Parts: sequence; C-alpha cells; structure tokens
Amino acid sequence: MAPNLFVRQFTKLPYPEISFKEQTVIITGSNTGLGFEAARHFARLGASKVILAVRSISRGEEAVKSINTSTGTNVCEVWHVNMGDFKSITDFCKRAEGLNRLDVVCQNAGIAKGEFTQMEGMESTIAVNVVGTFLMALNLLPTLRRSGIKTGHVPRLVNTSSEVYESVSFQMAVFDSYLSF
Amino acid sequence: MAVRFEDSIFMALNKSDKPDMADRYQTSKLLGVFFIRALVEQIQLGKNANQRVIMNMVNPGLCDSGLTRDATGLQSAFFWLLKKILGRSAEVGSRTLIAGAAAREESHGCYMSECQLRDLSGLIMTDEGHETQKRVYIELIGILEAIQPGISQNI
Repeated sequence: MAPNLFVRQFTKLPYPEISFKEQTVIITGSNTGLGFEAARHFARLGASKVILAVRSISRGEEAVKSINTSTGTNVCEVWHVNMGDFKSITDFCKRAEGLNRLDVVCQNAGIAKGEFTQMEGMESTIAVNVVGTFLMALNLLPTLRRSGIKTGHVPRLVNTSSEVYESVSFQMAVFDSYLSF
Repeated sequence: MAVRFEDSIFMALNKSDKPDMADRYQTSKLLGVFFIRALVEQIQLGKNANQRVIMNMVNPGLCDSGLTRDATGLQSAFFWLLKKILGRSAEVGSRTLIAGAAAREESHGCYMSECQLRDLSGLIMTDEGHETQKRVYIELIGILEAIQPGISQNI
C-alpha cells in the first residue's frame, strides 16, 4: 500500500551523492524549478555535459550562470527546444544525434493549463506533456541506444510523472463521452 | 451522427466545447504512464530488445515549482497554500529525477516515488486499465506516425 500524500510529502529524500562522471545529460524544462535543480545536481555530481533544453535561450543562460557559480563547474550548455512545437522537437533530436554520448534524458518539461488552448492543433497540455514528450522520447531512443553500445553504460530515459495520475476523473470525463454515443 | 470521429481518447480530449480542463494535467500524466508501460512492453518484443535503455517514471511530489504558473484566482490561492503547508523545495523535488537517472534495471517501465520503486495503483492496475493502455498506445503511435512517418521504427 502506498503511503498517503502527507506521509509522502514529509518523507526525507536522500541527498544525491552518486557520480555521473563522464556522462552526458539532457534535461528539458530546466531553466527553473525541478529541471533547473536537477541540472545543478548533475553538474555537481561530475557529469561532463549537462544540456539545458529550454524554450528561452536567455533564461537558460541565466540558469547556467547560476549553476556554474554554485558548483564551480563549466559543463552546462543551453539548447533550444519548444515542447509545443513538433518541428522544434525533431530539430532538437537531430542535433542530439551529433552527441558523442547520451547517458541520461530527463523529460521534465510540462505544463498545466486551466483553460482550453491549442498547440499544433491539439489541446496544449496534451500536446506538450504527452504528444511532444513522446515524439522526443522516440526520436532520442536510437541516440541513447548507440551511446549504450559505445560506452557500455546503460542509458536512462526518465519521465517526470506525477502521483496525480491516480485521479479517477479521467475515467469519468473521457469515458462518459464514450458512453454517451 | 459524427460520433465516430470521437471514438478516440485523443479526439475526445481535443473537444473545445465543454472541455474538462480541471483534471487535464492529471489526465496527461495518466496517459504518460499508460504509454510508457505499453512502450516498454513493445520494445521488449521488438528488434531493439537487446539494446537496453532504462525507461522509468518519477513522481517529484508536490513541489514549489513553476508548474502551477497558469493557475488563476482561487485555484492559484489554493496551490499557494497547499505548497506552503506540504510542498517540497524544487531542490528536494529534483532529487527524485536524479534517483531516476541513477536507478537500476529493475526500474525499467516502473514508477518511482520518494526516490524508490513504488507500485502503481488505481485505474491502471485494473482490467479496464489494461484495455485502455492498449488503446492509448495505439492512438498515440498513430498520432506520432502522422507527425513523423516511420517514427515507430525507433521502438
């Protein structure tokens, strides 16, 4: 049985100490919040390249400055990607094919829209969190596999999920629309 | 009746009249869990089964991040209060991502919370959930193939 929200939120999470020495890491949505702090950890933990995949190059560069200062490293790069723009995603993945190795991809970028808007002809939250995210995942898989063969280190593709997946209203909302045919 | 055009989860989610946006984020995350679980199964059956890439899902918990940036009014106030009481800092939340990036083979296709493997629960684990997972996978692969023909060769 999974612990409840209160227990989970007050569970102490271990401070990361594992080495990412020589590894190349991509983190999407990393100029702020979780992605940004994850990038800082990866830099501190010895990664040789940390790619901040972000919508705004200037905000990405601000983030890199902060990480360089706090960790005393110089391993971060800013690459542009807009997860609500499929061409931007495939361009990003083509660029990643040129990497010497790719050990970790943290698919962290996400949005939570309260109002119906569209990107790429789809509702924006679905376009970014689902379609864009897996368009990127499938396009990075060959690069990850090549890296694994080359280095012997099994790459990781980490998806930022959420406990809210358990919400049952999906059942209600989407399935009601089926049942009403 | 044009309902045949709506005989699809993704089509239903793109209806602009009376969209159910209150749980849209949750729905997007549930779709992600469905897709990854199905994708991992398909990879295991395919030509790339021996070229290992560990794919896992991490739950950062409730964090002081920019995620609720689009919330307004009462909802915004609610998130603010909830985060004040229960929230992790972004740094603490980010540890869950590092845990995923360092996790071993046994995390493949799995869900992690509090930096540990956790069983999934709810709809996903039911028979109906399993059927839905198949549908989500087929629909989303169809959408991705429409965006980029041949992309499923990467599976």
